[in-house]
Formats: sequence, structure tokens, C-alpha cells
Amino acid sequence: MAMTVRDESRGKSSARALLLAAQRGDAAAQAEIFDAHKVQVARQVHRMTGDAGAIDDLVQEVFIAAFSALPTFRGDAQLQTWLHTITVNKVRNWWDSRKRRRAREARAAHEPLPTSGTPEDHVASGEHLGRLYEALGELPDALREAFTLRAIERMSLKEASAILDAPVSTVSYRTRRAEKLLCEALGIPWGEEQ
Amino acid sequence: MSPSSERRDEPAVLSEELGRIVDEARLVPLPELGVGAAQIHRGWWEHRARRRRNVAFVGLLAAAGLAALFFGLQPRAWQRGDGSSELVNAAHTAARAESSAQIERDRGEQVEQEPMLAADISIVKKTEATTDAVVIGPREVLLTAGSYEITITEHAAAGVVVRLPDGHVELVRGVILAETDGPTVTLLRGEAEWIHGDGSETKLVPSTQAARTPQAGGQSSAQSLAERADELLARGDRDGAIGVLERLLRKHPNAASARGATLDLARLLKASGRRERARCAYSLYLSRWPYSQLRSDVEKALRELGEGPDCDGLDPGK
Repeated sequence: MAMTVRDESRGKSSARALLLAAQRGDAAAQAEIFDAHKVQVARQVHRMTGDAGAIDDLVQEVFIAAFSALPTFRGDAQLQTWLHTITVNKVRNWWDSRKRRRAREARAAHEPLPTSGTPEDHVASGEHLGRLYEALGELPDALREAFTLRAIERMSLKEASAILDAPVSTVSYRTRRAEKLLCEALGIPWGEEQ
Repeated sequence: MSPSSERRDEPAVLSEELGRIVDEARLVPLPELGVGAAQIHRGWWEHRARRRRNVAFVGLLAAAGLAALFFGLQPRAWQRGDGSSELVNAAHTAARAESSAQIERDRGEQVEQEPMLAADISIVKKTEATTDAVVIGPREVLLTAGSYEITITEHAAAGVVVRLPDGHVELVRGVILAETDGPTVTLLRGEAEWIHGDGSETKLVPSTQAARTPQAGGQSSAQSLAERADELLARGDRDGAIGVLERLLRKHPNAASARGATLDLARLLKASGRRERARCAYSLYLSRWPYSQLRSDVEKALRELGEGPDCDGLDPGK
């Protein structure tokens, strides 16, 4: 048991040393953290945006922001949870800029905004996936984030609550509300009406 | 935070049909990641340098403000030359010294990391007043002040990152002329991309005309063309806007506004039924900004326009 305690302590101190080295700009330390978490962040970005073309840019933004903000990382939360929170914020910015961009393009071309035309519609088997992400893009940020974490990322209410810094009851309400709006947008019956 | 952990939560999705779509979204395979640890490290370093420059600039502004306040309160003392001017000069000198010390510290850190430039890269100072470039790594340099010619051999193992006051240029092969004033970058031959401080990217084309940042004079005419196109569109003159956007892209292919202009032009051409030209504009956009967040939208537009002959820039092939 004593050995376990010592090992855990050593593990924590080496993790701390790794974070400090990354904070100082040690390329090897940053690479170690990046390699350990890149797939998780990339997957989260992919599931939250539905756009494979956005992954590289957003993953880069997430890690640069994380390394820059390491001095503010308290260490009482898991690094993974912290990265999740940064990812949610970056993805929110991505949706905002995408909306603005599309509105500007539509104005420039005197065309109405497309009702479909989706990030993933090139996936032959997933035309409805495109419609799902199109509808997600129309949701308010808070509802979209609750739904993607709960339904697509399959996080528990408690996990999503920690990431979104919102009470469990609020996350539950937002998820349900998002589901209802998505069902309306996609023309499918909502669960409580079935 | 394991998504697979056991949960006794309420179901996240009640609708069976929506649940099936959501499950499908989860199963879309993750594409191969195109960004690596070295790229992240470079981006972080640049972000930090930019932040430090901003802090130094704010510090200097504050010092200037204090000096102005001092003169405002002590006009007669200044006129009498009773030593207050020396006090202000001392404050300026201290601010400059602190700024220089910060730059020196930054340089020191850079040199500590990787002091030697790779053998297949050469840097030539083009004027006597040009200061030495700082070697950050074997394939990474910081241009401090002046005019430089950077060459990388045709068969080099990798490119070189050239850091400027506004972002950095990734020179894959060939020669660039870079001036820190502006800054200005001219690709004489080869292949290079300019990643600006705001994260936007410009693929440089070999040209005798320098590419400039949005702050520089050359870019302002690109900006005025972009504004002119907006005005014409607002008046409903679509053809006029198309002409202005084409002029912008031909005269200022490396302008910051070129990216948005290319896409606007493509959509306008498509809307006006000029499908071949629209296809070329969309293709040009994809080739210059392949990692755009709008890539899938552009690809969709291209599919709708159908196949056609290869394009020469904005012009359809013969």
C-alpha cells in the first residue's frame, strides 16, 4: 500500500513537471501532451461540427490555447476535462463564424441561405447527417452544446454539467429542448409525442 | 470522462429516429489528423511572441501617456529646463530598455532551443542597415529589421519557417525577398505560404509585385476594390461587382481580402449562370485554401457545377 501511495505521488509530481515544462515551452513536453490527447480532441471536434475539414484548424487552436493558458490550469480538474471545455469554446466560435460567413455569402450572391447543403453531405450513406448538423447549426449555442455532449459524445449529465459549468438540471432541460427543436427541424416525431 | 462509463442517467435522446441519426454521427470514422506536435509548438511560440509584443506596446503607450500628463501639469518647468525633461527622457529610456531587455530575453530563449540553421537554407541581408536574423531552430528564423533574401535548395528535406512582424512564411522551396517594414514578402520562385498573425493564410504566387499585409499601402487598394464590389452589389449591379472582384484577384492575389473575394466571385458567377467561370473560381479557392472550414461547402458547389476542362487560375481552359 505504501508503495502504491508513493507511486501515485510520483505519478502526480511527474505529471506536474510535464505541465510545467509544457508551460515553459518545452517542445517535447508539449508533444507528449498533444500525443496523449489529440485523438480525443479531434474526435470531439468532429462530432461537434460534423465537418472533417474543420478538424485540423480547431485541434491546433485548442492546443495552442491550452498551452498558452496552462498557468491558469488549477490542476484540480483533469487535463482531459479542461481540454474538453476549451474545445467546446473553440467549436462555439467556429459555429458563429460559419453562420456569419454563410450569411455574408448569401447576401453577396443575392441568394437565400441554403436550407440544406451540409458539412457532411458528401458522405453517401449519411445525407441525413448533413441535415442533422445543419439543424444543429441553427440551435442556440447552449442547446447545441448540451445536446452534442449528451447525445453524440454520450456524456453523463454530471460530466456534461462539469464541462459546461451548468447545473445538471439545466443540462437536462437544454438537451431535451434541443431534441425537440431538432425533431421539428428534421420533420421527425419527438420522443414525448411518440 | 470515459463516454463508455456506466450511466444511470435519463436517456439523452427520446426519439428513436433521431437516436439512430445520432448513433450514425458517432460512427463516422475520424479522418487522419493533418496537424502535428511541431506545428502546435510553432503556433504556440508565435502566439506567445505576439502577446509579449502587445504587452510591450501597451507599456510604451502607458509611459507615453504618463509623459504627456507630466508635461501637461508642468509646462513651465519644461520651459525652464529645470531637469524635468531629463526625468521624462529617463522614463523613456527605462521603457526602451525594458522593451529591449524583453526582446533580448526572447532571443536568448530562441537561441537556446536550436541555434544552428540547416545547411540547405541561406539568408542574405540585402542592405547594410539590416540586422541579423535570429535562428530559432534549424528550420526556423526570425527576421528582426531590414530586408532579407532567404533561399532553400530545390531538394531540401523540409521547408523553412520565416517569422515576420505579421505571422510567418512557410517557404517550401525557392527564394523569397522579405522586408520587415510592412512587412512585405515577394516569392521570386518556388512555393511558399504566408500565415498571418490573425491565422489567415495566403498562398504566395511567384510575382514581381510584393505581397503586403493589410496595414501596408499596396493592400489598401485591394481593400478599396473589395469595398467597391460591396457597393455595386448593394446597388444590385452584380456584373459590375464581378468585374471588380476579378480585378481585385488579378491585381492583388495575395491580399488579405483575396480569400473572401474568391468565394464571393464564385457565388456571383454561379448565380449569374456563368458556370464555367464559377467552377474555376471555386477550384482556385480550394487549391489556395485547401484547409478552409468551408471546404465541404465549396466541394458541394463544385459537384453541382459538374465536370469541365482544367482552369488556368480564374479562366476556364480552352
